[in-house]
Amino acid sequence: MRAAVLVDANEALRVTDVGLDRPGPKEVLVKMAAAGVCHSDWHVMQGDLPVPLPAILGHEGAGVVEEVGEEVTRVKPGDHVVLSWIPSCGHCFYCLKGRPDMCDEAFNIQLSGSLPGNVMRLHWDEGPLHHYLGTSCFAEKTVVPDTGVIPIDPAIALNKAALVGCAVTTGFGAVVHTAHVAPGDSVTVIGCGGVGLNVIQTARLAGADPIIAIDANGKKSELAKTFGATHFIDATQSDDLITPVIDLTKGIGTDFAFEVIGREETIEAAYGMVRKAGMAVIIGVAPPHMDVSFNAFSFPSQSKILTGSWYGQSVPAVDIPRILGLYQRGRLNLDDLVTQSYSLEHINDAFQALIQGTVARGVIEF
Amino acid sequence: MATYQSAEEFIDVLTEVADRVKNSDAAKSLREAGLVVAFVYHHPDFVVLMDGRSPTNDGSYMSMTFHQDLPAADVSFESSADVGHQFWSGHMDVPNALARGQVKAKGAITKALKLIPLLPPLYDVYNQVRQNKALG
Repeated sequence: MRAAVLVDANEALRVTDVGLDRPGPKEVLVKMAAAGVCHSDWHVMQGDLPVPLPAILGHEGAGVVEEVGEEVTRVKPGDHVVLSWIPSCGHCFYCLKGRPDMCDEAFNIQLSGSLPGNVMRLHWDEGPLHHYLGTSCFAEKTVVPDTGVIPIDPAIALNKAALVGCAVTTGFGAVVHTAHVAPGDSVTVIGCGGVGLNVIQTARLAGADPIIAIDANGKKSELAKTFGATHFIDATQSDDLITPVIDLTKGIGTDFAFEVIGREETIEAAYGMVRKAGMAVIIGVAPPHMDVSFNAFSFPSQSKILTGSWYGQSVPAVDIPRILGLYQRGRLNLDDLVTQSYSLEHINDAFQALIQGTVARGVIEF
Repeated sequence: MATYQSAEEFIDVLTEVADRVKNSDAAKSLREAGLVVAFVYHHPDFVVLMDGRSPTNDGSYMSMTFHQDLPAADVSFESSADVGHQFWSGHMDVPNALARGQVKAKGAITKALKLIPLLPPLYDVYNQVRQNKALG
């Protein structure tokens, strides 16, 4: 089958023929229909996020179940599914505490570049070929843990459903599960890519007002407003992102700031622009070696909450069908997220468009 | 859009401000405290050094010089030049700006903060200079 392999950091993806084993126990073989192109994949390609290489990237996808291994009961061949990159085990401390987003086993899969049990189903002529986040969906087919597939209504277009595998769920969950935004709360979103736009539209769904979008690409203004932003700040116009947000929130600061980039200065700005006792939610994935600094006195004296949100603190089996239901009833907009489709052979063009900020979300269609 | 397009533009304003306030009460207090205060600005990048310790040529209380590199100072305030403009124009709540991380301070902060009540006349001068130069 054809797949996009990252052989080493700072290289383009190599679209080539690879081998895929049949699914083992508790594994599912999915024929991919669509896969979203995400900044996290780009960070891996740049060497900012260390994962075992070579690997087949891609973690935001949807497709049709082709074959199931032994002991698989939740899906059957022919089912339409969205992939989840946190195939939580259900029995570790965090799963039992109701935080599958923090699942230890899923985290180990992310680090090891394999499936549960250190199993590898991918191979090619040049040696080991790693899985990525248990999904590896930049390929015509993939084998994933059965806990990493979420069955969906087959009436939903798979190129839209694919985005719910990461961008939509991450943005939605950050607003609903992490921040608990309420009607009338002010929300500021730094970064208007695929995830940021979903923070914006979920904040609108929650009744937030104002919703202030910030991006270094002025062309994102219109898109951000389509998804619900009431104001747009062009980050190229000043280094000071805090003052305009303070000005737009009656001098108080924003109730919630969502940082969706993963850069030192924007994380610090997110914390700075939040009002006293407000909340800054860091969604952007920064390189593991990066540090940020905050005014220490402000922790007790301003009592802000600074937290992260990983996969929107979601429970994929609950949240993905819930989000798709909102889409089907016209409450969430997935149609305008997919601004460009590419074939697998042109996947590197899709990444160029991503870093140039010319797309909301590019999607590889198989 | 950034308030100042170049370091030279900002320095030009501050040079005139310094000349007008070098014998003010604020400058006198800086001299009495023997303080050297640095403002480290980014975009455009430059450093403002307000020196109340070294003797001046004309006997005034302080001198103001500009360096690309940070000189030794008792206290330094680092921020974007846009935030620096807010400070000089009197539109900044300094403790809040420190808490928000808009300004990062190092050194003898307590001594420097004591000077804040003396600063409003400087803000007026700064705004006046900008007006004269058709900047504000």
